[in-house]
Amino acid sequence: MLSVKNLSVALSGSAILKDVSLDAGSGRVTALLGPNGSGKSTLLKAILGVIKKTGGKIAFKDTDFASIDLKARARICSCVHQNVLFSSPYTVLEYVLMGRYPHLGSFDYYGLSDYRMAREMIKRVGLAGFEERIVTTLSGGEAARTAIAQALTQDSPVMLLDEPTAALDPRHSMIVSEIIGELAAEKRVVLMAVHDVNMALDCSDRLIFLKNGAVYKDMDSRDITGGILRDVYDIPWEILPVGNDGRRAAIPVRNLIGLKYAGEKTGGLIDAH
Amino acid sequence: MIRRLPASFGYCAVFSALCAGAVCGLYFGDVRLTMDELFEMLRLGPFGVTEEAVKHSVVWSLRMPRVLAAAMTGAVLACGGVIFQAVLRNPLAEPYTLGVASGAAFGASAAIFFGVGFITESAFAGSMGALFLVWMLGGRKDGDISGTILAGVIVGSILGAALTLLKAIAGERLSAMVMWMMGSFAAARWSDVLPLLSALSIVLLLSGFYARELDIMASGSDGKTLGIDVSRVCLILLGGVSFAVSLAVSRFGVIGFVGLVVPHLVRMLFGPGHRHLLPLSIAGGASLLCLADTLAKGWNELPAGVLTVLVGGPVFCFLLWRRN
Repeated sequence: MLSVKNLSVALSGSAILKDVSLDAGSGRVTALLGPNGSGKSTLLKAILGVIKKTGGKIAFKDTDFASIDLKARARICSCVHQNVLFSSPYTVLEYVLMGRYPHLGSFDYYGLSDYRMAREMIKRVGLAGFEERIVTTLSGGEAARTAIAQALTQDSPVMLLDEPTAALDPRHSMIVSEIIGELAAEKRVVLMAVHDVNMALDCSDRLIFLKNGAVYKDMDSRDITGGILRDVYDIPWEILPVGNDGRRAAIPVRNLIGLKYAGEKTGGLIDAH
Repeated sequence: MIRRLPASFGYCAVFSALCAGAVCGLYFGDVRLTMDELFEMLRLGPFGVTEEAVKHSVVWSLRMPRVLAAAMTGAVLACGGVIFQAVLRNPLAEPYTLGVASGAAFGASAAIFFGVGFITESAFAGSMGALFLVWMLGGRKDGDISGTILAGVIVGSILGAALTLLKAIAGERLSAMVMWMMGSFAAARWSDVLPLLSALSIVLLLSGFYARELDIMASGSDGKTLGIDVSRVCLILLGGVSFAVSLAVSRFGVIGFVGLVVPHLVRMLFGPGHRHLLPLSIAGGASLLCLADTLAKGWNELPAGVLTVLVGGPVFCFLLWRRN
């Protein structure tokens, strides 16, 4: 289990995360939701050790992250970042293979088993046949899936995803959702920051809402209501049933007066419920 | 799909070019030798005794250190270019980005201007001073290197302006300053080889140890997420390369082009993977500067820095045209 206790992060003197505590269990998908600037990406970066925390504790099972170096942490945590940037003409295979770096010794180079794993993960994200393609020629969706394949190649028990489907079309988003489900089925901890509430409802077991750098609500995804979403995003939402298997979709309801001026003209937002 | 040449072909090509460059460098010069005589001198070794003492001395005391100096400087500059371009993720980066060349040029010019001698020492002090200044101004603990690059550009510009001022008031010493800055191996001696060997050892160690990290940084992957202490690695790589390059430029002047274009040339032909890019660039840079220096020698001792561009530039343009 990944456990975050009383985590605080400040950047340039201003608090970005305040006393955040959460547990993300193995075999479950936990979604981090919240408006822009609520601290979702910062929380993921703090877990990765990319930015320094000002207080609190992050641990996986019995391992306190403060006591291990970045490479050991990379063997525990992998991450798919929001913006995938390719700055050199590596092939997809070469790029994905770099995910094996945390598992190499100081003087080792990638071996046959590393290549085998990289090829397997490329196939898993639906990019079979792309091994020799140059990454700078990939479309947005292919690039996102290449980044996911690199993180999968890292083979870590904790997987963090920052907007993994932001650049993907519905079909590929669904493929990624399925991969996320498979990762959880493999008893990994999956923690993803998403703006897409429906993706979170579709593939996560738990929702953690962040607002102003603090945990606003930590709940089972089945308990979602329009009222909670309205409180978090300050716009009205409707929750509608989809199909006959208990799935639901969340739809933000656009105020006809317009969001920008709604507060001024009506003294508050119109509640759709 | 990609069209890259196999690395084995690259190794054959660059090492053949290096051998050819070295033999040409030893063969051509004012004192004429036959090929048999050259190989005989090489067989005798540096301490051999022969009736042709002059020719032996020309080969072992003049031409050999010159060839070694050109080859090692080329290797250091090309390797430095590869490392800078990867760490800074900038195709225009070269080993002089952090101001070591401007510092060396200013130090050497100041020594020439004031007529104090110690040109090499002043150039080295100048480049180290510039590097120190850049690090003090732009180095950040969080590993963000954009400030360091900016500081390098600013320090380089200030030193460039100071150098222009020196040149404007240098009078008859101007030609000595300009010739130093163009770069030449004409004065290379065995005493220069040891510092260059240290410089080469530094870049070879860095390339051997950090090839995988350089791949990750150059690819655009997030190094920290993959377990690299990016700020520490950047500090070691940029500092180490700048120091090694300072050892070279403080002796033979500012030789441009090699550090910028050789890495691109090799990358274009054999791909961006640093496992092969580094050794191929090292050998490529060494052979290019060897050949350029041989041409410079035959061309009335023209500055080698000018000829590196004349030799390598058209080849690079041709490959760029073919690729597009």
